Amino acid sequence: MMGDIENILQAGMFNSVAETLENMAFMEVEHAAASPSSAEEGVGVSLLIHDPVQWELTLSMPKQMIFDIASAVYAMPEEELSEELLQDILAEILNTVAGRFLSEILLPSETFTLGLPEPCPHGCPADEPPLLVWNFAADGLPFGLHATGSSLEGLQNRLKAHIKPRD
Amino acid sequence: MGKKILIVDDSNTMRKIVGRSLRQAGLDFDEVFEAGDGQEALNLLATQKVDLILSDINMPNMDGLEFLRQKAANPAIKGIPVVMISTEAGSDIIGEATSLGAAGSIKKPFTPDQVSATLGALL
Repeated sequence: MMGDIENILQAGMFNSVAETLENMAFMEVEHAAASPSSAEEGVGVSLLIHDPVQWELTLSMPKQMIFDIASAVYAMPEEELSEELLQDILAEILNTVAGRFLSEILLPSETFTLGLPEPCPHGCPADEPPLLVWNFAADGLPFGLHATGSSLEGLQNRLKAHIKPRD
Repeated sequence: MGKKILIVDDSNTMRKIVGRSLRQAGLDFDEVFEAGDGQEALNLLATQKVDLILSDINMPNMDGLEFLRQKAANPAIKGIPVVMISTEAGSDIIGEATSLGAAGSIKKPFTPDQVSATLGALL
């Protein structure tokens, strides 16, 4: 049962990230075995999900990858992209990914509420060990998401109840 | 006369992506205006006539639902169709937006084809 839930969560996040980056920047996403190196200069953003259970989703991405996405969206040279613009891009990616992910894993009758993305310009420090981790790469650059929050267990319990109807 | 579209979203990035999708969708319009929230949109609509509005829901200052309420109370702009662009498409929030007069919704992430299918009949 836990393996099924893990598969739903992994596949749901992969589909969400792949579709978002494909539509936003024509990037192809693949699974990665390891998280981005801490030595890599990265930028982070976190988002509180209020309903149906409260938890937090965090996205961390190397600066070069955000530059690449920004170039695709704004058609501007790298040196003209401000820090504010880079944070805005990261926030919009996370917002879109979170909504797409929740739409995929929840039943159509269930609703969700998202907060507003909060930037962490120098990476998002983890106050607690993440309960879920997703590692991906695009154009050879690794990036990752993680989920924290004690209520996340509530989401997993909901999924347990959904597995039968999904079959 | 060319059609004018207003994009309302607190994310500069999303406004650019929506604008790009409008062009890629091959829709018939001449000019795009942008606003960062509902209040900015109402301020712009006080002086600028537009034919269609695309609005996010989850925004600081004035969100998309409050924007719909205030627009509906203003006879000068209440007839302009609004399409909501949001991650929450299909949820209760979209149901509320529809009850407040939204003409449709597009769920993020979206493709130019999805934009064309939703907006084609409104322009």
